[in-house]
Amino acid sequence: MQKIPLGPVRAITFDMYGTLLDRVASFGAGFEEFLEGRAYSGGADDVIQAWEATYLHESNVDSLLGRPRTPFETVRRVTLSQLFHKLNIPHTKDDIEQLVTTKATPTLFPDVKEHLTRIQSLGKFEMSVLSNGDLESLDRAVSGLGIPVDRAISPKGPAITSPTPVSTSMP
Amino acid sequence: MNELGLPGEQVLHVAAHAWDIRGARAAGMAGAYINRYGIPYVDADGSQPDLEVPGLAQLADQLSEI
Repeated sequence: MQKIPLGPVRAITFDMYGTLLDRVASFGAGFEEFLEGRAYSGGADDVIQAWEATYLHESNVDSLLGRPRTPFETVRRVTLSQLFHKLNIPHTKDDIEQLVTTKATPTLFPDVKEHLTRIQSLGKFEMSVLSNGDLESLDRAVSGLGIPVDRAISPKGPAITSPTPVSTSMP
Repeated sequence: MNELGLPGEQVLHVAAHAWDIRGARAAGMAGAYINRYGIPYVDADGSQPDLEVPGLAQLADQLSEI
């Protein structure tokens, strides 16, 4: 596939999770504290990375079945419990709830606000955050974190997940 | 792209994962790979992102030159 010249670009879409939002910084401290009390030899970072893979897998199931997207807030709780079961990490429903709420601190990568503001100030590009997650959760995250973009976009209709080309072509 | 009202070649998708870039490029969009951790971009068909930078500062630099 040949490279596409960037000269004609008029709009920029940014992936959210793992690109703008730093998952390890967001959840690391809570996971480290939680894992300290369990007989688990791996690191919090590894668990968070594995959680991301589990989340993607679960989202792809929605997509393959052509069913409506499961809300992000639900998927991340279910997949974390799945992962802990796989890793034999004892946990309760309350543990999961705390890890994704009170023990989490949604954190952007340090370069996000400064350099998205720089790009915005060029006045050349419409800027969006594009994610497979449901729009309500995405909108809340984008506005809550103060990400300098024009809007959030999520594919409509049955669950469509990246890298399916329609996830980017048909929001 | 439909929501943006633009053809694919006028949209740049920025992501830190190769799978996102591959999907965007397959849809006709340009793809910029943010490679913060020095992870090689791997695509089974051997193609490369349209732009690869180590962070958003370098992305802003490149876009300033368009």
